[in-house]
Amino acid sequence: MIPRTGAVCGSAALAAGVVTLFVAGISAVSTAAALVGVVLLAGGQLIQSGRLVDLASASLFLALLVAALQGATTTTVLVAGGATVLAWTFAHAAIDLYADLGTAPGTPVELTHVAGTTGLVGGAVVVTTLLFQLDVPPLSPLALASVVLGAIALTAALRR
Amino acid sequence: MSETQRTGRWFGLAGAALVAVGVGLVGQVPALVLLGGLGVTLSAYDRVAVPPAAGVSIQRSITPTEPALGERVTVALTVRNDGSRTIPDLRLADGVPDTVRVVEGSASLGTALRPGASTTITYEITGGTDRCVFDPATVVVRDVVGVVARRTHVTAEPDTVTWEQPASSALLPLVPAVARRPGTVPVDEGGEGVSFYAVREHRSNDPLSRVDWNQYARTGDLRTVEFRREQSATVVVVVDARSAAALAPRPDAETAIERSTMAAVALVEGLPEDGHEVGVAAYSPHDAWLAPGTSAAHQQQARDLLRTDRAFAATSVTRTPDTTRLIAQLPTAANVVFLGPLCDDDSEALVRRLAASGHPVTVLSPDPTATDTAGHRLARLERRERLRRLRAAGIAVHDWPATEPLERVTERAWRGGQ
Repeated sequence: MIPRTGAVCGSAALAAGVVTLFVAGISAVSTAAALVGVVLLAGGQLIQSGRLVDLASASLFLALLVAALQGATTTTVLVAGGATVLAWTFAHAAIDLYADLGTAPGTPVELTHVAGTTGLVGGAVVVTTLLFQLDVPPLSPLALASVVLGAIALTAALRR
Repeated sequence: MSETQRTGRWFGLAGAALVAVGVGLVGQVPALVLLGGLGVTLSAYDRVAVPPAAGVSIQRSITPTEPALGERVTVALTVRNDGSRTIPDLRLADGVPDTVRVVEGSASLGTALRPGASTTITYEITGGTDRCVFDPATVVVRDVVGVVARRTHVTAEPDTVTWEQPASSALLPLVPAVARRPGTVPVDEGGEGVSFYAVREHRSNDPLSRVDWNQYARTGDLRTVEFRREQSATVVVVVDARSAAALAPRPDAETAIERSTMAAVALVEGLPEDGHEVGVAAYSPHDAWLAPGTSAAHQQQARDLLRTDRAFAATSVTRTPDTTRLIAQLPTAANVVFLGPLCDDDSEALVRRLAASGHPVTVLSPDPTATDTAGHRLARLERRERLRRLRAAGIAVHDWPATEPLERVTERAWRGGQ
């Protein structure tokens, strides 16, 4: 049987969605939102709909926000956030690959994409978590937010 | 020449980061603010990422190099990373000409290539009737996440495949018609020609070169040798292009209409070389008619008609073709070569009407039937029965299996088999 192009990325997207579900599902509301996200993610890939994948990712993000507001730990929030980004990226990659290649072979691209993106996002999560755990004088949330907003402004300035 | 573009895969990530920061501030949750930091980091990657250089070379091999008409051609495309960086996402689409179709494998590939590494894809094409030139292959390389892409076109050699046209003698043997002028269609009548036909009594105006001098030496009687007369013909190629003929044994196989059109192109190119006048007609809801002719311009017109006119393309229109008009257009006693799968009674009825109208009819029937289901097997039996009935009615019918090139069918036809 010939593997369907996009199957590797699609499976990885579902796995990342399930990670978000388990990590962020600390209450009924966040679990329900994450569950809806995972179901929409599967549906989006089934009908090759990028909009449905976006909706699924938004639902996973909502679950993450709810979990954070209900007292989830920093590590939990960051891991769930990274997994949500991965689920969103992999699902879009699966749709994109299938649209580009159809039944043509594409497994090496998928494996490289899954490994490379996981490394990048995972690295960013690890670095952010370690930075948070550094023994530096405590920053108020407002100061931390100012730093983040400054970073956003800097990123926006990188627009070509 | 390459162009770089953002794919927009992480479009909206910075917005989500802002939402996380906002909610974190309102709810006094530092973790969400940190999550915003993660979003910003990834957004920054989205902004600064550059695609790898598309330093690839492509080689194409074509087997066989000189295919016979209808024969499949295997194309192997090898792509090699000539750069010094790994290409994590390389997508390749070969520039397959529009006039052929891929019937096995895929002309596309997605892969990752280390520096110096190469990979090969193999696919088969068919349906070409002439010289086909491949377009440059399209190559798209992306970064590992896929947020930025570089597109370029790479030329691969060799880029041409030429399907051999059948020699005129390889074309279908035509059914003898009423004598018109000397040519290559043998008729059951003595006269000028090259093959022996009969010996008859000498007449005073017979040329001396045709006197049977051996007979005269033995018996003293003057006898004249007659040769089998041959004549040129007026031929009209009729292609069954109705929706009922858009049949193929597999979803990826050529339809009977495509095979019939391909054979029609071979006939309009080959028959004039033997001095025959060739015309074209469509058995289709859409009318198409080209009166017989022999000139090069006429051949080109016939080719264009067969390749571009909607009457010779698969149609969803199920309106019954005007067969009365079709038959009325045919010149008197014109040879008709009917190309169609004969998978319904209407096409059989048309062939019978053509024969009944005084036209010598030759049928070349591409077989589109399959044997995977009971229904398909029944359709195959019904088609065979139609072919048998037409042969019993004295019509020359040549069955063209889906697995055989046209050349083999014509060879068999010339040997006398059907």
